[in-house]
Amino acid sequence: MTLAVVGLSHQTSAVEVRERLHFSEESVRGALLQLRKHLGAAGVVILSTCNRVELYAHRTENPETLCDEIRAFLSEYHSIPEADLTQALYEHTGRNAVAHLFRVASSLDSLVVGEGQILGQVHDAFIAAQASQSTDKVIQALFQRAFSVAKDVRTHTSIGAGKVSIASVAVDLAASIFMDLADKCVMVIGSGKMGETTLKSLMARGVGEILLVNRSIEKAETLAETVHGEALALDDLSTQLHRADIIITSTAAKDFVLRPEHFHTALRERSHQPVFVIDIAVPRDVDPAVAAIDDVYLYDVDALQEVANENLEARRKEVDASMCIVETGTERFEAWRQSLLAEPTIVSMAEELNAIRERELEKTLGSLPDLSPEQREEVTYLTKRIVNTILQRPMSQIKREVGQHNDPHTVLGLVKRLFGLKEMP
Amino acid sequence: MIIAAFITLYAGTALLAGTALCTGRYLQTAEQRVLGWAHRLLIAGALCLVLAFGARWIEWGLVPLTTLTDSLLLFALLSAVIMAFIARGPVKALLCFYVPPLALIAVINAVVAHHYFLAAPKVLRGMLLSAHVGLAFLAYAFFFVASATSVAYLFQVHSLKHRRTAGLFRKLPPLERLDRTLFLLIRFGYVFFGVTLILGAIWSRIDADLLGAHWWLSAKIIRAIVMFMFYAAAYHMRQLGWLRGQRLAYFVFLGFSLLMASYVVLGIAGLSNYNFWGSAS
Repeated sequence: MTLAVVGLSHQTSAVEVRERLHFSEESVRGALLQLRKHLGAAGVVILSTCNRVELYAHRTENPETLCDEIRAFLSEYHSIPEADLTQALYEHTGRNAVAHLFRVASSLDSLVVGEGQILGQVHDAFIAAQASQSTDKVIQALFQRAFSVAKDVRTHTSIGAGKVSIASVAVDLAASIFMDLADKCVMVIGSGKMGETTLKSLMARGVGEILLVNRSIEKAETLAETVHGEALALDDLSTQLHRADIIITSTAAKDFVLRPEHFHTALRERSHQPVFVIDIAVPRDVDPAVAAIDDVYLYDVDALQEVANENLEARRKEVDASMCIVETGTERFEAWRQSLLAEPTIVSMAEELNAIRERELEKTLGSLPDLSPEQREEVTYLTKRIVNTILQRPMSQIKREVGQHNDPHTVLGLVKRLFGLKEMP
Repeated sequence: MIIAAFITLYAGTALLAGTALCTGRYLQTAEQRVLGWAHRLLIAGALCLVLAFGARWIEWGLVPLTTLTDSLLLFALLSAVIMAFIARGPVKALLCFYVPPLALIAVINAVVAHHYFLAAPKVLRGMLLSAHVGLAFLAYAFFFVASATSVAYLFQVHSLKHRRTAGLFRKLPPLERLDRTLFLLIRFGYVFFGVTLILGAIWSRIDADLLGAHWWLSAKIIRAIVMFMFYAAAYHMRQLGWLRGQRLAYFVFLGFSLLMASYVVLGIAGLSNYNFWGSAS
């Protein structure tokens, strides 16, 4: 009984290699069926994202060749010589494979540690495998446990706290200044790509009003149409600045577009309600002296990056605590998986006791011919209840002992000798 | 009953001190559940102080508002209730700003309680005077929580300006919400303080002979009127949008600091009695 994972990730391969081994959403179903057939495995899952391609498999026979066969499948499926993949591929079996999946699902193995997307991708991969009936009891339990471990990591550590991209940091900061973005006005000055991304992030949080300022009013109008905003010419900036709660600047201007005097006037007009200024332009659009004005919070690209790096660092500090949760989850899963070894013995033990019960019951019923059919049924039911009650405790104890024991076969051997059970094939 | 009053006072104080320790622990570990305990301890502490106040009332059959310990007891329990109400749900981290100064006041009060609790409170003549004193402490409680909120606001501003956006910063409410909370606290404090002054003025007409001819010239009254005007200015300027955010936070913090300083100065100078310029009968 072996669990194995073979794959590659951003840590072991360049994007050129990863894209060659990528499984598209449409091709996954077919690939799962082929892989299962190829391995003769009980359960398989294919996890394919932009940062990793991993094939998980579980089977009971020929555990020692499982990884080689998965590697051969990858090579064959994508028509890439195996030798070309050797450097990029990693493989884990048994306990290591379990711990690897738990790390991946908990985003400890991600390019951006703590990002939340990977859990959804692992979930989708599992759902796809289930839909194509490519999972078995062990694979199902493995992935369910992975989701639970990932949830524990998110709940008990701050691994997912603090955003790490410029746009999301800006949105996070806006949310720490304003209660509700729905009644806030965003002014976008210029038409830089980064400014657009930040605006989109703010729009996703339901920002109320959008003002688009551009040197060319025609360009502003075109942009305004796409985001249902209001177009303004750059000349109107001074008179309209007070309307903006959040200002995003990303122009290509060589000189400062916004200076302290602009804000002094605007703040008076808006009764000193706070203004969040995101200056993403290089060279900068906003005079750094603006940062010293009360109720104005100015963040340029470096400042946003600094916050993003700080958040990333904070996440990295949570890795050790997260690894403890992964370790505990792995231990528990492995104990459960090992306890499965006891199943054939338990079945055999139950069969043995039931055979004794039937034999003895037959003798007893033979010596009591006057019993009515109802009474015979009652006696039969009684014997079944006795046997089941007797079996209950040993069954759970055997599972527990086998799950926790370093050498489960010793425990199983003892049980077999105790009950005179035949060796299972 | 005096034993019950002591036990509940010390228990309430211990719970408030425990709450302060929890907030300290939270600042070290950032464990959210610690804040949950802090909130529960704060509520339990407030309940104990209510019981202590009740025990004191039952023991003497008088509204216990005229000794230092009784007044601070009422102030602490009212502040604790307001704090527990505001710092509930996802903004429990506000307790880090609220509870330590409250716990300090409660502990100092518990230390001196032995002396004051053994003496009977002075008689407050009538419900009018009881309401006057009670409402004054309710207003002070609002001003106290407002000043703690202003510190939280200034902390957030400082963090944003200096780009220290990790840790406690993330757990506190947005600036806009803190500003609104501040405004709300000033509004309640201002209204209660206004009613306090009106009740006091009515009482002074009724008991004019007790207070003397120049009662309105006492340092206590002048301080109350100055404080009222100060908070009235803060409230109306905020209402009109002339004073908000950072400036309002500084203003409110300054206001409560002045209030505290005036208490200490007048207490040391012995000017807390009415009619110190006139001749009381």
